[in-house]
Amino acid sequence: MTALIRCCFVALIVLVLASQTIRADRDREASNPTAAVVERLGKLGVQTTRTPSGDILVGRSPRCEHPIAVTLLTTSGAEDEAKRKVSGADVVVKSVYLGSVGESPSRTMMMGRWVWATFLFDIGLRADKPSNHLVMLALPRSCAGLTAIDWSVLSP
Amino acid sequence: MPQPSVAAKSAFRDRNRLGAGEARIWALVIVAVAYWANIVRGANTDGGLTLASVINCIVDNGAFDVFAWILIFARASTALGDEKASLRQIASIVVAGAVALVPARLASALALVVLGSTLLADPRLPVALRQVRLLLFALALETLWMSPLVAPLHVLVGGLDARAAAALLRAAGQTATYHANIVDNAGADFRIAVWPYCTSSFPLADVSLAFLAMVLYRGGTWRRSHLRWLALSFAASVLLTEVRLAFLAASAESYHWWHFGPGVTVYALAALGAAVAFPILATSEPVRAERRTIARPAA
Repeated sequence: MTALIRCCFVALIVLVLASQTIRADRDREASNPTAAVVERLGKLGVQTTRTPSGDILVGRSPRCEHPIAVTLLTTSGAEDEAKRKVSGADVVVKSVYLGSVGESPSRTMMMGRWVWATFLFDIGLRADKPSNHLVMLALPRSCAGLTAIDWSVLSP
Repeated sequence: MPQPSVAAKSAFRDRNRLGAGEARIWALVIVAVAYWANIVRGANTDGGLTLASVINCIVDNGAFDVFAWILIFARASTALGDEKASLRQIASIVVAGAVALVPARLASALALVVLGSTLLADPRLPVALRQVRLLLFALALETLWMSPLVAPLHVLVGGLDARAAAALLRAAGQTATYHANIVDNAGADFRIAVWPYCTSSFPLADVSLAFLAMVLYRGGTWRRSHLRWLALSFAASVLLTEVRLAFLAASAESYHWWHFGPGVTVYALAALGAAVAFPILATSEPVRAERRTIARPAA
């Protein structure tokens, strides 16, 4: 009986290492988030170029003659500063994070979504690792057609 | 046919029963493997896992984490005893092990808490062993503190740090302002963003682990009077971070020196010095009190 218990303990150690190895492989599958956003914008008919500084993508949609500013941010305090950068009277700022689209998502809401998505990922019920990036869009106020687009598909 | 002696029978029986001390060691090994495997997995994202990269991950994670684990095993192995492991103890090991199976750092933190609050909470255990659970809790707190769950708090503190760094720069005669987590040093035409892992709150869990590990290492037991030294240790860490942020925001050259140059070592040494000095002062306090008692009659 004691030998069996000791074998169970060794098996637990092996299983811990195995679960970590599987998780490491799944983590590595996460692709470059900027490339993924550019690809998804392409599917929405928005062609992008990078600004000279490189931190903001400029999108062109056939539905609007004005450019759309797209920024990929980490959810670590950079949102306020980025929003300040792209805000203006002639634009509507929207943030897209894990399937939700809002004008000013609360940190609590984002955290709640991240916790739930991470929990699902950890127990294997979600395929892709939840990103800690959010997409911030500055949509020209004059282009009403843009608001009809389902921006949630940009969700990292 | 010769019969086995009583001593041989006893030795055989000892080998074939799981002692409570051995069970504790097994439990700690399982949880330690999960703890370090999570750290190595998280740090080693490029996939090239070698012995050197594993050692680097462990060392980079923090000397006090390694120190705390050494202390945990050292104390656990000194109190093996000859008591048989109970079914309840084995069950708590299985529960902690099952939690540790989830490949997430928070799961390993939860496993540490489970272990600390079940296997090492027995009042019959020696105080030295029971206090090991404080180290387990401190390691769990450190894991939680650095997880994205607590990031909103660090973001909030980042704003306060930006304010403090700007105030320090203004006190030094520079023209500095702040907004959100940005310190804008207009005089030097330079600005920095205070990210969550640069905030003054971020290292506090590390500081508490270092404090506790040092107190227990010096043979002491945790006492309530140590709390004020821990608070001083926190204050020193916060002050050190604010000064570093002010230096970082002073100019581009200063930023480079403090962020990539020799300043990294200077800051690390200063932080290490503070982390070690306060627990030493805390544990030498009774000695000084004794000295005063001795000195008084002589005077």
